[in-house]
Amino acid sequence: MKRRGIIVIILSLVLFTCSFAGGCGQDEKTKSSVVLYTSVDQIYAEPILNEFEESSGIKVQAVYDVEAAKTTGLVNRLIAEKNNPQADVFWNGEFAQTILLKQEGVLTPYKSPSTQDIPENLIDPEGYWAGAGGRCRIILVNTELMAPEDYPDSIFDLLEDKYPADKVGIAYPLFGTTATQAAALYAYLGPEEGKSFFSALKDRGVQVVDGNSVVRDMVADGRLMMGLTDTDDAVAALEDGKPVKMIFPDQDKMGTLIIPYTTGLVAGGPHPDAGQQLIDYLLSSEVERKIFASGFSQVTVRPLGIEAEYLPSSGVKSMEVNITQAYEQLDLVIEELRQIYIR
Amino acid sequence: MTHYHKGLLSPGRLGHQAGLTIFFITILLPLIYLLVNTGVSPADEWLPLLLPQGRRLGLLINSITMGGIVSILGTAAAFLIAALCWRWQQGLRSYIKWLFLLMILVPAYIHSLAWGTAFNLLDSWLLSHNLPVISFSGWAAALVVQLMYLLPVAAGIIMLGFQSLNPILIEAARVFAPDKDVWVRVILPLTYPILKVSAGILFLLTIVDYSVPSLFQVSTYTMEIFAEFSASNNPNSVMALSTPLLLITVPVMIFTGSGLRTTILKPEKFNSVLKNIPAWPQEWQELKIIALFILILQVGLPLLVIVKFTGSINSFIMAISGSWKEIGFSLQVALLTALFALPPALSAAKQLLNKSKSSTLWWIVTTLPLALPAPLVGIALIALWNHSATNAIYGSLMMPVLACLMRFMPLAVLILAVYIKRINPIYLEAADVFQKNELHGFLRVFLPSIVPGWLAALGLIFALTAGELGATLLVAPAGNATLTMRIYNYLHYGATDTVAGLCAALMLITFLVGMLIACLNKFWSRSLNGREEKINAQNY
Repeated sequence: MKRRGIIVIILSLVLFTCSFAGGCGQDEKTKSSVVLYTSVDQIYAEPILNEFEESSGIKVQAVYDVEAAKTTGLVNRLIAEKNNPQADVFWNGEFAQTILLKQEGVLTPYKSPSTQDIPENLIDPEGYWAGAGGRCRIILVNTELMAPEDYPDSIFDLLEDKYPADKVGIAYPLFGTTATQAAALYAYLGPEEGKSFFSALKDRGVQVVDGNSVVRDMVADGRLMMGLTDTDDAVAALEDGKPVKMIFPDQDKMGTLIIPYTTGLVAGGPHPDAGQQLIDYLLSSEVERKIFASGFSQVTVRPLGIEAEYLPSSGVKSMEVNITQAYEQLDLVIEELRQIYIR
Repeated sequence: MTHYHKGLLSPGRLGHQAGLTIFFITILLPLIYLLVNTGVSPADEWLPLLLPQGRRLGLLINSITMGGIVSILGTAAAFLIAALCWRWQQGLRSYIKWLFLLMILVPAYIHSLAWGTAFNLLDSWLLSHNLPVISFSGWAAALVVQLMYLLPVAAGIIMLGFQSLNPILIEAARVFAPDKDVWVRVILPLTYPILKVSAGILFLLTIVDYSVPSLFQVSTYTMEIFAEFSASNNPNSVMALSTPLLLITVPVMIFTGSGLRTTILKPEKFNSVLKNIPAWPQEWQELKIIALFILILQVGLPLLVIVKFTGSINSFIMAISGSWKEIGFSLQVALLTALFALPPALSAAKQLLNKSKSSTLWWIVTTLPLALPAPLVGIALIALWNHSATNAIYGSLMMPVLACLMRFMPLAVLILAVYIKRINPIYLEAADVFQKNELHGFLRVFLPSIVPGWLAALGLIFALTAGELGATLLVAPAGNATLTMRIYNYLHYGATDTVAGLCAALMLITFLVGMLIACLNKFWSRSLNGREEKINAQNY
């Protein structure tokens, strides 16, 4: 009897899982759905997508990227799926990987009506991608470990001897937005000067950690005095009441790098019409406002008449760098910086 | 295992071959695809990457060094802990043993956070007493965290080794010698082969991991592989770059395979269970204290961090209340993976036990996927299954199941092989005589005899699948995510309380499943032992 009972339990488990198995995957891919791959953090993206579902009646099936996968996650999935695309839309937290997908032939042109009031430098001339919103690359300082007069005001201050190297941190500049920042610096300063900056950081012995969120955590809990990270990471620490402050570097020099989020329509995706609707929504001023309010972006590309809580009242001077030119430096950046940082 | 191989077209042989075919398709086809695809691509894409030189050679040496140290120290520590836990068969301590094994689910990040916090506190104390602080960074920190992270895997393998020891040898030795000599002259030599298996598995799991070393700025070869993937987005060059890791795997697996041959392939036949486990010798009390200390640190520090950051029961409920969908999906993937792994793993285990020269080769082939970086597993599965003809599978729950099967089925093979070899040969011989047909004997004697092995493999695969990230991320169906994916998402956001709550939920779910499995195992063993005693009584 006991043995029969065990068999019944095991069979029940199989039936349970199989019955649920039918509930996900193909059968949900109805005509009124859209498949989105996104590297925007789930905590920010989910409410936006829920509202899209409510207003449009289109079910969004999202796949979220994680920082721990470095940049080998969804972008490589999209490239691998190119011959039989499963996604309709790619919503990227930055721009470099979106341009890469255009080069790889993963995207198809779509000129969204929502881009009418977006500056030209954030729209691909051929219509493969467009961007809005903006996160800034900032220096996060621990206010308990540093006096205001000692706060850095330039990313080049990270090289100053007055700041102990083991108390300064950056994420690996081979992945994510730190790689994007490196590419932007290569484009702005020239490859040699860009390389020498990152080389000097490494030679100085600053802490190179696993990701921007780790930089944020280490500054927040006092293991670092300061570190380079993104504003969305920093805002999370500020809202958590941590003793940190955002410094927008190089305001009287080259400006702070602002990284917009970007969208692209996947070529041959299963729901192109719904995909276009979703892109229209994601690039709209309404979403830009919402995502600004959520704390993911701190800069708007349109005059929306709203102010970010943690931004300087004078605004932020943006680093004048062409997105495509920055992207073109990315291969060189990864090739050179891995020689320096992974050894 | 000749009992079920009577004829080329016998049901037993056909079933075995079907199981091997599924095993082959699941485990090896993606690997073969990657190798062939790389081979047919332009040679300048991959040829220069095959032989690491200069900086890459240094990184490879770093990886091998880290793998070597973790495998040796980890196996030594795991042996002590397994020996300590061996006697913990009943009561609260048996639950602690299970809890320790479940710690494999705690992400390495939590271990890192726990140890970092502990050293921060220690440094504060040292500073307050004008003593020099201890920097928790670099190689030492990476080794400690990696070792603690993988310790439950090694201990689990060694515990399995203890289970498969011949009780007659140990009981006979205890008649003639004190327990200390039994440990030194009987148990240690008998478990040496399984210690090699543990060391080999630890080595493999360490050299393919980049996350822990990169947390402490230790550069390894796997980090280079990820950098290459980021730079080229080309699976062929990544496969080529991974080839040295696969090549290193071969001698390591031959070394551990020799352990398997002596442990599993040629055991003394025995038909009883060791009831009086030897006590820890008085002369080794220091080692017992060390084992207990490591166990407390391994379990206690991360648990303290999880409890501290979760805050309260309300926070815990808040954390899981928004994650029911992910919890449900994780359960489905983990259960299906565990259930689907068993039939092909059974065939592979039987193949492994075949007394032929090919058993070493089979062992190498079986464990080779363990040396493959997880994203590459995902990419290979996409290439194999993402076609219009297979759309019903691709984009369904089956993809993460296949990914986890490829990554973890080798471990199920190992467990089942141990348990198959523990079957009382008298039963099989009796079945040979009295069975109506092969299927009858298979279903009534063979399968029931290895139920504990099935359950152990089921539990392990369930736990590992629940925590898988790298491959699942690439093949998870749109609109679905596992709890682990959600944990890593919140980790980036910095919601340490939610992360801690979700980690606790993941551990709790797996703990409950583990307890259910343990209860089933207990019922089954009692039922089996009762029947055995009845048969013995009838014989006398």
